[in-house]
Amino acid sequence: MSVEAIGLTKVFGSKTAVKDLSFTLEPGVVTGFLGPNGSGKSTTMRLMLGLDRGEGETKWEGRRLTDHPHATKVVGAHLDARFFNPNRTARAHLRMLGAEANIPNARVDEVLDLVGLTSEAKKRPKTFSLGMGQRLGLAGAILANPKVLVLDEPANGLDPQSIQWLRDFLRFYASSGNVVFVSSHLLTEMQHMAEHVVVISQGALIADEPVSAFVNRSTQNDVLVRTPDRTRLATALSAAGLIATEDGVDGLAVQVGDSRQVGDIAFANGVAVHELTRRTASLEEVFLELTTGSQDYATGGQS
Amino acid sequence: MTGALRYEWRRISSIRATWILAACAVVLSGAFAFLFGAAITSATGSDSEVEGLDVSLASGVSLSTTNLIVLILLGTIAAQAFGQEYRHGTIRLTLTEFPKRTTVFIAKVAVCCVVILATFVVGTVVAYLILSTNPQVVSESGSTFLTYFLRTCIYLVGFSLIVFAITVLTRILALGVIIPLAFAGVAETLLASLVGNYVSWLPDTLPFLSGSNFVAGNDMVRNGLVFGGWVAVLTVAGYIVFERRDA
Repeated sequence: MSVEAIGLTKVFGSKTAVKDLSFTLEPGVVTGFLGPNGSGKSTTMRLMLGLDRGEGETKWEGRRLTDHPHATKVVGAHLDARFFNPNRTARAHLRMLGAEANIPNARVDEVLDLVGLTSEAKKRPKTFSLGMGQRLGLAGAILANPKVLVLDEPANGLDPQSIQWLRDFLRFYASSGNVVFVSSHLLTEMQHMAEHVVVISQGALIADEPVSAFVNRSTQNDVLVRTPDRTRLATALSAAGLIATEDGVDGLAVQVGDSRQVGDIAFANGVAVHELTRRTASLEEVFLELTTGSQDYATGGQS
Repeated sequence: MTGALRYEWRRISSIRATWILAACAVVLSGAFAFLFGAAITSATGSDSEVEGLDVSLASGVSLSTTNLIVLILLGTIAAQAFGQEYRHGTIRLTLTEFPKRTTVFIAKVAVCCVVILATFVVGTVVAYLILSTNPQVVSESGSTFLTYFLRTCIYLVGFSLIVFAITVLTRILALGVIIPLAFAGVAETLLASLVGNYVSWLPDTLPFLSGSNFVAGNDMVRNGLVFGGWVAVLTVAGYIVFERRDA
């Protein structure tokens, strides 16, 4: 199943929160959804699910969600770690969510076990930590084994072990041919988790591409070369039309996509090379580079 | 629709408050019936039947239509259907499972009305049994009581629909209970007595006074239409808002 968001637009008063947003989510990969605070990520997810009323539409395997006889088999969503009645036990909460698809109690117990909440099944979630709330929310989302998972900041409040578990689980879920669409502020984690990213800023699309292609957009990508004869190599690189700047005691940072080109030039000019490394910007660095200045809630030093 | 009805039943039945409210409504129905009977005995000082005091009238005093406390309890069950969902954000889980909002609206109204009516039936049976054993309450035919009982059920469904509508419109559970009860218990009586002398038609258009008159069997068609009209207008308004507004 693929999911196609077409022209999603949402206006709150005088502010356009989401502007004509279109993208496609493919099965088999985890798609990360990135954007600064207030950029419209949560609103976009709610628009996709039909929870917010706006313009545009989302096609789930070519059809609107309302046209599917059992929406729970199509999409499972986890939008907030506090979306539960604090006085309903965790197990009863999941039994309620499973009512539409007539999910057996055994499946409810299985999912509770999967997210590590078996011992809390009969407890009321009013005492749950944020992390436990996230687990309960995730349990609800996967209960009916939907073909699409839509998760809004599911890693918030999770400890490192739980984040690793979440990453492995989502990759496994996607690898089974499902669509996984997950927003997160934890960009380092997202770099490990997602193979594809949809990036928005101020409600508009910035990128919809594989993580590798997105990272390659950075101006910080370069090749580091260390040599005992930096002056001579710099002259040779300049003659070849490459821009090289000094980096450290004996290094040059060369603005080029392919490290082999630098190696060939050094070899041709008889310059010894001690290190030749292609340096790629992190997802976080590219994200900051492309979205700086577009935050709605930037601090004084950032805007 | 079956899935939505099952979902709503699990929602309402898995909340302890539902059962506490229902139990309190039944117990209070019985308690008021007993206290009413005891008060009559104490006031008249005899064991003979009091003329005009039939079971319907006695039940009316002790049951929902005139018993504000029982009405608060049953109204709270109705208000929780939407109020708790908005309060805790679970409405977004519900509407993700059921993207067709009409289905959710109908399922909530249907299941809650059944629970409220079932509670009312049990409370009525308890109160009826208590009152019918009181020697001062005049026995009446089963059909007379049944007619009165059915009118009360209609009133209760209408009242619940108004509670549903106001809860959806305000998205605040407490207001869903307080506004209808304030009108039913205080505002309409004040309006009728203060303004009614100058605007003679006003009392006839007030929803809960008309509803009470309908239950009492006074000019049933006109009062029923007025009450039903208010219920229809508010329910449609609530439905439209539920359908169109962001969850």
